[in-house]
Amino acid sequence: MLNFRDDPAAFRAFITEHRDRVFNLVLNKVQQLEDAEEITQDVFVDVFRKPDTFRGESAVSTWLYRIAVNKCIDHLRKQQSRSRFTLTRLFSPAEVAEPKEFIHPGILSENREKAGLLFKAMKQLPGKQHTAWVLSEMENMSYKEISEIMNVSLSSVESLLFRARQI
Amino acid sequence: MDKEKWIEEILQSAKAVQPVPSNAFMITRIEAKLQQPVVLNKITAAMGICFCRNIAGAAGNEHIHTSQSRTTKSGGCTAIDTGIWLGQ
Repeated sequence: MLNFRDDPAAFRAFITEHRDRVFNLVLNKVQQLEDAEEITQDVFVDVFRKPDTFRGESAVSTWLYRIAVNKCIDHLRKQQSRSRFTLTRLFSPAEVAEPKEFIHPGILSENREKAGLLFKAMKQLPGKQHTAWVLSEMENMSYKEISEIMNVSLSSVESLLFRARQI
Repeated sequence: MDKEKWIEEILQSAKAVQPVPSNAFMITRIEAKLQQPVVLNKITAAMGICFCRNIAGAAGNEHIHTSQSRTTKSGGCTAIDTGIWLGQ
């Protein structure tokens, strides 16, 4: 059982061990630095508050990444519905600025142009394909890990990645 | 350069993204979040304040990040009744 309530030192050690990996996964998925920080914090808050959601059927890291991916999906969904309800868009569509191009802080300057195109293309991907692509190509996870995190079969992962490459 | 090779280079640029270190104060911030009461957030969300936040956010008011300030600034139940708060 993964319960940190009585052991703050163990919780801090757990965060230290996993925070960079979770943060990078979230950053690649939501493509926004401040939001990624906020979501990463929320992931660990959930770990602390809902330890019983870990049933020991998979590795702790798999469970952690699943929470992170779900939080990213929720965040992106909220972001979409927020922009849908934007009053300013109704009254003066010209004043609504397009979102700024995402510049990943981990991209070397010589790769910036190509990576910019890549991130732009990634935004066109439907949710599941986007998640599979991030986990596979950016996080270098195996198909098995991806299937466990996304709770889909191995063949579904293959298919999602194949379709993502077509776009 | 032929098109396929160019596309492949762009796809491969995903592998060249370096991991970024997370915020050094992350642990402190997580602990601060854990100090905040959960109940208040759940109640306000259940009352549909989230919808108000969308509308209010759209009206350009950025000072609505906490559930407490949302309730107070919108004048108690006004926002809940109408579902619209224009951030005055």
